[in-house]
Amino acid sequence: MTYTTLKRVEGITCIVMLFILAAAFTWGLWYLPLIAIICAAVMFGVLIHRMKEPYRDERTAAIDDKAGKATISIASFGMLVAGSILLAINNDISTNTGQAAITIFSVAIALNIISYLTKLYYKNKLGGK
Amino acid sequence: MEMKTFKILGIIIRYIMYAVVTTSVLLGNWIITAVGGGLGMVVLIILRVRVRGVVIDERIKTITREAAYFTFSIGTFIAFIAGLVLVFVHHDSLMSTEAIIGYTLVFTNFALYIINDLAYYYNSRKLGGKMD
Repeated sequence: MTYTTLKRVEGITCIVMLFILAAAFTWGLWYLPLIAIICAAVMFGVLIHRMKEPYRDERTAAIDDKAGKATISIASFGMLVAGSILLAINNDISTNTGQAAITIFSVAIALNIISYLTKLYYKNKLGGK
Repeated sequence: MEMKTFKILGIIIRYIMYAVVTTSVLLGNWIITAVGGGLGMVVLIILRVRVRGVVIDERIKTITREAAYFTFSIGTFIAFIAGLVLVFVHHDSLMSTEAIIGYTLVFTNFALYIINDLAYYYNSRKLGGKMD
Protein backbone atom coordinates (compact mmCIF):
# COMPACT_ATOMS: atom_id res chain seq x y z
CA MET A 1 0.00 0.00 0.00
CA THR A 2 1.48 3.31 -1.09
CA TYR A 3 0.39 6.92 -0.49
CA THR A 4 -0.72 7.34 -4.13
CA THR A 5 -2.89 4.20 -3.86
CA LEU A 6 -4.37 5.56 -0.64
CA LYS A 7 -5.26 8.82 -2.44
CA ARG A 8 -6.94 6.82 -5.23
CA VAL A 9 -8.96 4.82 -2.70
CA GLU A 10 -9.87 8.11 -0.98
CA GLY A 11 -11.16 9.57 -4.28
CA ILE A 12 -13.27 6.49 -5.08
CA THR A 13 -14.61 6.40 -1.49
CA CYS A 14 -15.64 10.07 -1.75
CA ILE A 15 -17.57 9.41 -4.99
CA VAL A 16 -19.35 6.44 -3.35
CA MET A 17 -20.08 8.58 -0.27
CA LEU A 18 -21.64 11.29 -2.46
CA PHE A 19 -24.07 8.70 -3.87
CA ILE A 20 -24.82 7.36 -0.37
CA LEU A 21 -25.50 10.89 0.87
CA ALA A 22 -27.75 11.59 -2.11
CA ALA A 23 -29.68 8.37 -1.36
CA ALA A 24 -29.90 9.25 2.34
CA PHE A 25 -31.20 12.73 1.51
CA THR A 26 -33.71 11.44 -1.06
CA TRP A 27 -35.21 8.71 1.12
CA GLY A 28 -34.60 10.32 4.52
CA LEU A 29 -32.30 7.48 5.72
CA TRP A 30 -30.19 9.56 8.13
CA TYR A 31 -28.44 6.49 9.60
CA LEU A 32 -27.09 5.42 6.17
CA PRO A 33 -24.25 8.05 6.10
CA LEU A 34 -23.38 7.12 9.71
CA ILE A 35 -22.94 3.43 8.81
CA ALA A 36 -21.01 4.36 5.63
CA ILE A 37 -18.67 6.72 7.52
CA ILE A 38 -17.93 4.08 10.20
CA CYS A 39 -17.18 1.51 7.45
CA ALA A 40 -14.93 4.01 5.60
CA ALA A 41 -13.09 4.90 8.84
CA VAL A 42 -12.41 1.20 9.57
CA MET A 43 -11.27 0.63 5.98
CA PHE A 44 -8.89 3.62 6.06
CA GLY A 45 -7.58 2.51 9.47
CA VAL A 46 -6.66 -0.90 8.05
CA LEU A 47 -5.15 0.63 4.88
CA ILE A 48 -3.02 3.14 6.82
CA HIS A 49 -1.88 0.31 9.13
CA ARG A 50 -0.70 -1.63 6.07
CA MET A 51 1.21 1.32 4.61
CA LYS A 52 4.98 1.35 4.31
CA GLU A 53 6.95 3.97 6.27
CA PRO A 54 7.62 6.82 5.64
CA TYR A 55 4.03 7.58 4.61
CA ARG A 56 4.87 10.83 2.80
CA ASP A 57 8.25 11.41 1.16
CA GLU A 58 9.44 14.78 -0.24
CA ARG A 59 7.87 14.10 -3.64
CA THR A 60 4.40 13.24 -2.32
CA ALA A 61 4.53 16.18 0.13
CA ALA A 62 5.32 18.58 -2.76
CA ILE A 63 2.52 17.08 -4.88
CA ASP A 64 0.13 17.32 -1.91
CA ASP A 65 0.95 21.03 -1.48
CA LYS A 66 0.43 21.69 -5.21
CA ALA A 67 -2.84 19.75 -5.18
CA GLY A 68 -3.97 21.71 -2.11
CA LYS A 69 -3.32 25.02 -3.90
CA ALA A 70 -5.17 23.83 -7.02
CA THR A 71 -8.09 22.62 -4.89
CA ILE A 72 -8.47 25.93 -3.05
CA SER A 73 -8.28 27.95 -6.30
CA ILE A 74 -10.67 25.75 -8.31
CA ALA A 75 -13.06 25.12 -5.41
CA SER A 76 -13.41 28.74 -4.33
CA PHE A 77 -14.12 29.88 -7.89
CA GLY A 78 -16.43 26.90 -8.52
CA MET A 79 -18.29 27.43 -5.25
CA LEU A 80 -18.83 31.13 -5.95
CA VAL A 81 -20.23 30.31 -9.42
CA ALA A 82 -22.35 27.41 -8.05
CA GLY A 83 -23.69 29.59 -5.22
CA SER A 84 -24.53 32.39 -7.67
CA ILE A 85 -26.34 29.95 -9.99
CA LEU A 86 -28.37 28.61 -7.04
CA LEU A 87 -29.24 32.17 -5.98
CA ALA A 88 -30.15 33.09 -9.57
CA ILE A 89 -32.47 30.05 -9.77
CA ASN A 90 -34.20 31.11 -6.57
CA ASN A 91 -33.16 34.46 -5.09
CA ASP A 92 -35.24 34.04 -1.94
CA ILE A 93 -32.72 33.17 0.79
CA SER A 94 -35.42 31.83 3.11
CA THR A 95 -35.90 28.81 0.82
CA ASN A 96 -33.78 25.63 0.88
CA THR A 97 -32.03 26.60 -2.38
CA GLY A 98 -31.15 30.03 -1.00
CA GLN A 99 -29.81 28.55 2.24
CA ALA A 100 -27.68 26.04 0.33
CA ALA A 101 -26.29 28.93 -1.78
CA ILE A 102 -25.44 30.98 1.33
CA THR A 103 -23.72 27.92 2.90
CA ILE A 104 -21.64 27.39 -0.25
CA PHE A 105 -20.68 31.10 -0.31
CA SER A 106 -19.72 30.95 3.38
CA VAL A 107 -17.48 27.89 2.86
CA ALA A 108 -15.74 29.57 -0.11
CA ILE A 109 -15.15 32.79 1.82
CA ALA A 110 -14.02 30.91 4.98
CA LEU A 111 -11.51 28.85 2.95
CA ASN A 112 -10.05 32.01 1.40
CA ILE A 113 -9.78 33.76 4.77
CA ILE A 114 -8.08 30.75 6.44
CA SER A 115 -5.72 30.45 3.46
CA TYR A 116 -4.78 34.14 3.65
CA LEU A 117 -4.22 34.06 7.43
CA THR A 118 -2.09 30.90 7.17
CA LYS A 119 -0.07 32.53 4.41
CA LEU A 120 0.59 35.54 6.66
CA TYR A 121 1.56 33.21 9.53
CA TYR A 122 4.04 31.26 7.37
CA LYS A 123 5.49 34.51 5.97
CA ASN A 124 6.15 35.81 9.48
CA LYS A 125 7.47 32.43 10.63
CA LEU A 126 9.88 32.07 7.72
CA GLY A 127 11.04 35.68 7.90
CA GLY A 128 13.01 37.23 5.03
CA LYS A 129 11.86 39.92 2.62
CA MET B 1 2.08 41.48 -21.78
CA GLU B 2 3.60 43.02 -18.66
CA MET B 3 2.65 41.86 -15.17
CA LYS B 4 1.28 45.31 -14.28
CA THR B 5 -1.09 45.34 -17.30
CA PHE B 6 -2.24 41.82 -16.40
CA LYS B 7 -3.02 42.88 -12.83
CA ILE B 8 -5.05 45.92 -13.96
CA LEU B 9 -6.96 43.88 -16.58
CA GLY B 10 -7.53 41.12 -14.00
CA ILE B 11 -9.12 43.55 -11.54
CA ILE B 12 -11.35 45.05 -14.28
CA ILE B 13 -12.49 41.59 -15.46
CA ARG B 14 -13.23 40.49 -11.88
CA TYR B 15 -15.39 43.56 -11.26
CA ILE B 16 -17.25 42.98 -14.53
CA MET B 17 -17.86 39.38 -13.37
CA TYR B 18 -19.21 40.59 -10.00
CA ALA B 19 -21.57 42.93 -11.86
CA VAL B 20 -22.72 40.13 -14.19
CA VAL B 21 -23.37 37.75 -11.24
CA THR B 22 -25.28 40.43 -9.32
CA THR B 23 -27.41 41.21 -12.39
CA SER B 24 -28.04 37.50 -12.87
CA VAL B 25 -29.21 37.08 -9.25
CA LEU B 26 -31.42 40.15 -9.42
CA LEU B 27 -32.99 39.05 -12.71
CA GLY B 28 -33.27 35.44 -11.49
CA ASN B 29 -31.60 34.08 -14.63
CA TRP B 30 -28.88 31.51 -13.86
CA ILE B 31 -27.69 31.25 -17.48
CA ILE B 32 -26.13 34.76 -17.26
CA THR B 33 -23.96 33.61 -14.30
CA ALA B 34 -22.94 30.37 -16.01
CA VAL B 35 -21.97 32.11 -19.28
CA GLY B 36 -20.44 35.19 -17.59
CA GLY B 37 -18.42 33.12 -15.09
CA GLY B 38 -17.17 30.75 -17.79
CA LEU B 39 -16.21 33.57 -20.19
CA GLY B 40 -14.45 35.55 -17.42
CA MET B 41 -12.44 32.50 -16.41
CA VAL B 42 -11.40 31.78 -20.03
CA VAL B 43 -10.31 35.42 -20.57
CA LEU B 44 -8.30 35.40 -17.32
CA ILE B 45 -6.55 32.14 -18.31
CA ILE B 46 -5.72 33.52 -21.80
CA LEU B 47 -4.29 36.73 -20.28
CA ARG B 48 -2.30 34.74 -17.68
CA VAL B 49 -0.65 32.67 -20.45
CA ARG B 50 0.44 35.87 -22.27
CA VAL B 51 2.25 37.35 -19.24
CA ARG B 52 6.04 37.40 -19.69
CA GLY B 53 8.78 37.32 -17.06
CA VAL B 54 8.71 36.18 -13.44
CA VAL B 55 5.11 36.14 -12.26
CA ILE B 56 5.76 35.08 -8.66
CA ASP B 57 8.92 34.20 -6.73
CA GLU B 58 9.67 30.73 -5.36
CA ARG B 59 9.39 31.74 -1.70
CA ILE B 60 5.85 33.12 -2.08
CA LYS B 61 4.92 30.10 -4.23
CA THR B 62 6.05 27.62 -1.54
CA ILE B 63 4.33 29.57 1.25
CA THR B 64 1.07 29.79 -0.75
CA ARG B 65 1.09 26.05 -1.47
CA GLU B 66 1.78 25.10 2.14
CA ALA B 67 -0.92 27.48 3.36
CA ALA B 68 -3.41 26.07 0.84
CA TYR B 69 -2.69 22.48 1.91
CA PHE B 70 -3.11 23.43 5.57
CA THR B 71 -6.37 25.27 4.76
CA PHE B 72 -7.66 22.27 2.84
CA SER B 73 -6.87 19.86 5.71
CA ILE B 74 -8.36 22.04 8.46
CA GLY B 75 -11.26 23.48 6.40
CA THR B 76 -12.58 20.14 5.14
CA PHE B 77 -12.32 18.56 8.60
CA ILE B 78 -14.27 21.38 10.29
CA ALA B 79 -16.89 21.49 7.49
CA PHE B 80 -17.31 17.70 7.60
CA ILE B 81 -17.76 17.50 11.39
CA ALA B 82 -20.09 20.53 11.47
CA GLY B 83 -22.15 19.12 8.58
CA LEU B 84 -22.45 15.65 10.15
CA VAL B 85 -23.46 17.07 13.53
CA LEU B 86 -26.17 19.18 11.87
CA VAL B 87 -27.45 16.21 9.84
CA PHE B 88 -27.60 13.83 12.81
CA VAL B 89 -29.02 16.30 15.32
CA HIS B 90 -31.80 17.38 12.92
CA HIS B 91 -32.45 13.98 11.29
CA ASP B 92 -36.16 14.05 12.19
CA SER B 93 -36.83 17.13 10.03
CA LEU B 94 -35.01 16.62 6.74
CA MET B 95 -36.18 19.90 5.19
CA SER B 96 -35.24 22.08 8.16
CA THR B 97 -32.71 24.88 7.68
CA GLU B 98 -30.09 23.11 9.83
CA ALA B 99 -30.41 19.78 7.99
CA ILE B 100 -30.11 21.51 4.59
CA ILE B 101 -26.99 23.40 5.75
CA GLY B 102 -25.57 20.13 7.15
CA TYR B 103 -26.13 18.19 3.92
CA THR B 104 -24.68 21.08 1.85
CA LEU B 105 -21.55 21.16 4.05
CA VAL B 106 -21.02 17.38 3.80
CA PHE B 107 -21.63 17.38 0.02
CA THR B 108 -19.20 20.31 -0.42
CA ASN B 109 -16.61 18.49 1.70
CA PHE B 110 -16.71 15.33 -0.43
CA ALA B 111 -16.62 17.42 -3.63
CA LEU B 112 -13.49 19.20 -2.29
CA TYR B 113 -11.85 15.83 -1.57
CA ILE B 114 -12.61 14.61 -5.09
CA ILE B 115 -11.10 17.80 -6.62
CA ASN B 116 -8.03 17.38 -4.39
CA ASP B 117 -7.57 13.72 -5.38
CA LEU B 118 -7.90 14.60 -9.07
CA ALA B 119 -5.36 17.45 -8.67
CA TYR B 120 -3.00 15.06 -6.82
CA TYR B 121 -3.32 12.45 -9.58
CA TYR B 122 -2.76 15.08 -12.33
CA ASN B 123 0.32 16.57 -10.63
CA SER B 124 1.70 13.12 -9.86
CA ARG B 125 1.43 12.12 -13.53
CA LYS B 126 2.82 15.49 -14.71
CA LEU B 127 5.87 15.39 -12.44
CA GLY B 128 6.73 11.81 -13.38
CA GLY B 129 9.09 9.71 -11.28
CA LYS B 130 8.17 6.74 -9.14
CA MET B 131 4.48 6.69 -8.16
CA ASP B 132 4.63 5.98 -4.44
